[in-house]
Amino acid sequence: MLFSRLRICYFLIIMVMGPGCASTPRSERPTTIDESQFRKGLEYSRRIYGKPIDILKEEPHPLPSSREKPHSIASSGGKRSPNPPHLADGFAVQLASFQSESNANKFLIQQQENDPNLRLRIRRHQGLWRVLLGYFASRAEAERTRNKVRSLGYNDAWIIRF
Amino acid sequence: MHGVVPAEIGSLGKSEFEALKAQAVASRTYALKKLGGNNRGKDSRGFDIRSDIYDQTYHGRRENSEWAIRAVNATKGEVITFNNNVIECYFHSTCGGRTESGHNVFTNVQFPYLQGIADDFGKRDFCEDSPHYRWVEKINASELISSLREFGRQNNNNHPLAPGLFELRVSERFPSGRAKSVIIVDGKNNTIALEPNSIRPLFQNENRSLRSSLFRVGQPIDRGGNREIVLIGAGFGHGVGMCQWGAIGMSRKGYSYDQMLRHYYRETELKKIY
Repeated sequence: MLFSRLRICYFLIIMVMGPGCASTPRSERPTTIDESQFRKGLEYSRRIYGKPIDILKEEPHPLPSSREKPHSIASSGGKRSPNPPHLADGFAVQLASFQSESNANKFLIQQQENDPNLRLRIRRHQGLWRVLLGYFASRAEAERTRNKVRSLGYNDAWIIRF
Repeated sequence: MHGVVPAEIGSLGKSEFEALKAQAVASRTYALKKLGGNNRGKDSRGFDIRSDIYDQTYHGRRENSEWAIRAVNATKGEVITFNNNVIECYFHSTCGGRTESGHNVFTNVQFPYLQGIADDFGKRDFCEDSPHYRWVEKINASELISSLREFGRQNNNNHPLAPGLFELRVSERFPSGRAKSVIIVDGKNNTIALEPNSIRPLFQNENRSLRSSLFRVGQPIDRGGNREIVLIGAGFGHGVGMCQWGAIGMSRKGYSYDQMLRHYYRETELKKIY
């Protein structure tokens, strides 16, 4: 029941937002990222390259390449955060939230097993791992989708700003 | 370029204008580098560039590609260079969080500007709005065995695989996490190892290649003696160079097109050549 509702919801989202979820202009221009923040970002990106991404963390016996060892996070002197730049705001509809990342991943994978194209994603926001639907440049667009989702029975669906 | 950019990255809007500009420069660079590529010597095919995913998709002008046309015009003549040479400008749909080093995919040449990088500046991955950011594929085990046998026949190397239950695991990975070697064991303990470039075509589902070689093997599902292999993965495409959905994410967050291009093609320069 849940899966079929989500599938209907997904198609509604596609109809509302159009291909690529990206054709709606923002109401205002995003903040421009200055060069010094950008350079810190480049360095951070290079440093964390070897860190396993979430889908591989649950692999029982990860076998890194014997020739090319992943970069060690510890070897970077413990400095991991480059004070990342402020990112421009966006909105999304939240379907579920979890204390642990693995439970959020399980929920997302359950939905995607039923529909591999389901546009759900996970974000950590204010201490919780949240399963989100869609990307919206304005609150009004997000509200329209939230109302459609609620009319399908997801009474707890709400909007978050990130 | 007016017909290439929207076909490659989508008919986007104002908030993705910088991504459209990055795509315009990347597509122009790719095209210039490929001039003559299919049109040299005795194997000449009479054209330079294919109009599909093997080079660049071209659909002609679209009614709703206003911002793409603006992006092409705004970057007129700009290309990406390394040591004053136009670069081999690969790009793909979605990296899933890590791009791949060029020499791990296109093994014949070392591309110093195509380093694998984390698509993340300290928050979340730039490409996480992509529909291919995370995915699950289920592949019928007997169909996989058939594909492997067919592959063996085409390569004059009959794989000694017997029907029945078998094991599948990623035995080695590149630093990005993409599979470098996959081991398959059949019901009679015959074993074969797949090389990186044969993994995605062989794990095809519904006549399309596996979206990415960045995956792990999940718990198989047994349905009445018919086994389904479950692959849990990330991204779409070879993973080298610019991640198009990553560029869209960067654009939405306020990065400029030249910052995007310097992020994906490290140590390169933008030059206006006409």
